Amino acid sequence: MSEKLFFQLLSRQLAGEATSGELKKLKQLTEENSEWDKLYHELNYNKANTTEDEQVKSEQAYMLHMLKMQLVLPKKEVEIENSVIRLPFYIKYMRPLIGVAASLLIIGSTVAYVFLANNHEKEFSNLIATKEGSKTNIKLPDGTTVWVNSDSKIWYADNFNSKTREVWLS
Amino acid sequence: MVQADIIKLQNAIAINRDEAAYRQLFINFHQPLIKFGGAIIQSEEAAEDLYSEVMIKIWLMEESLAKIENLKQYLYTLIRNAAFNELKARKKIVISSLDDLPDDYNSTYSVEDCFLKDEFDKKINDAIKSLPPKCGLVYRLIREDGFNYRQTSEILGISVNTIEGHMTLAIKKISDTLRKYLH
Repeated sequence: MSEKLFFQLLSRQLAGEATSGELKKLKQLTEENSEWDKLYHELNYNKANTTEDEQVKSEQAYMLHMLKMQLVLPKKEVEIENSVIRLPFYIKYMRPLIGVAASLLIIGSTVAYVFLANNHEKEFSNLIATKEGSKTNIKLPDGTTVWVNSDSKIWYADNFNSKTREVWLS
Repeated sequence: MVQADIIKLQNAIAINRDEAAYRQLFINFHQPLIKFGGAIIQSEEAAEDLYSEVMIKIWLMEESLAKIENLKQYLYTLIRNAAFNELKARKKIVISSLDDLPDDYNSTYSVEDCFLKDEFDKKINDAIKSLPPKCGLVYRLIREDGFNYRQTSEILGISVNTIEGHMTLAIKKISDTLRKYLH
């Protein structure tokens, strides 16, 4: 049997181009010739997957690529992109922490507000409140004029001293 | 990566401008494409730049990226064009297909020896390395990058018959080398 035919069929099989008739013929040939059978099996090896080393190289190449992209692309394009890449890594990884910190801050200030709000109504005994749609101007004990917009409240104490002039707005 | 996964990434990049998808695409094709480009311009280092430029083009295509039918083949074609242009600039000759390259140009299409399973795989690898450059290029595009004859012919700009000829020669030469170790 012609060796040329064997190589032709094996090539077509390896390329995924062989017809079912050709595959049958190839099988027949390998059954008749043990050396061809071995070659058939050896050449049908599976390609090794990407190695860890190559993976690292690709990741590094990507980081360099992103730097290049920022230099090459118009600024607008870069800004449209998700901002994650423009942030240094430490900020990227601190993001969840920033979220936690922000919520703690909100909880903290709410507690403080409730606490102080109850307090300041006693301390700051004067309250000016405006209705929705009306404005007013008031004169504080030290002579300062304050314009109060609609639907707002201002508290201030009687003992307005010269060092600190505290008011509460809401 | 199968075609369906590539299409998913392609759409995510084109329509959602998804950077994670872009990163995945970049990393997935990085090694095969710098090896392919490196084989043509004889330097994997220079091929890195070509790949980076090609991937910038891909990002800038925006929504039209979604219309590409076979992105994998498209990427190989872009790298081929970039590599031919690079050679043209270097050698001042016009190259539009693999046939325009001299037969004996040195190829650097290599596989890292370190990840081969055993001694026998190393023999196969050596056999592939010692193939004539065009032959090796065809063999790798088919066996390692998974293209068929028609796609390989389109990527390299040579006829399907020539591809088949290169492939058969590659198989014969690799077999000749392996025979020495079979007994």
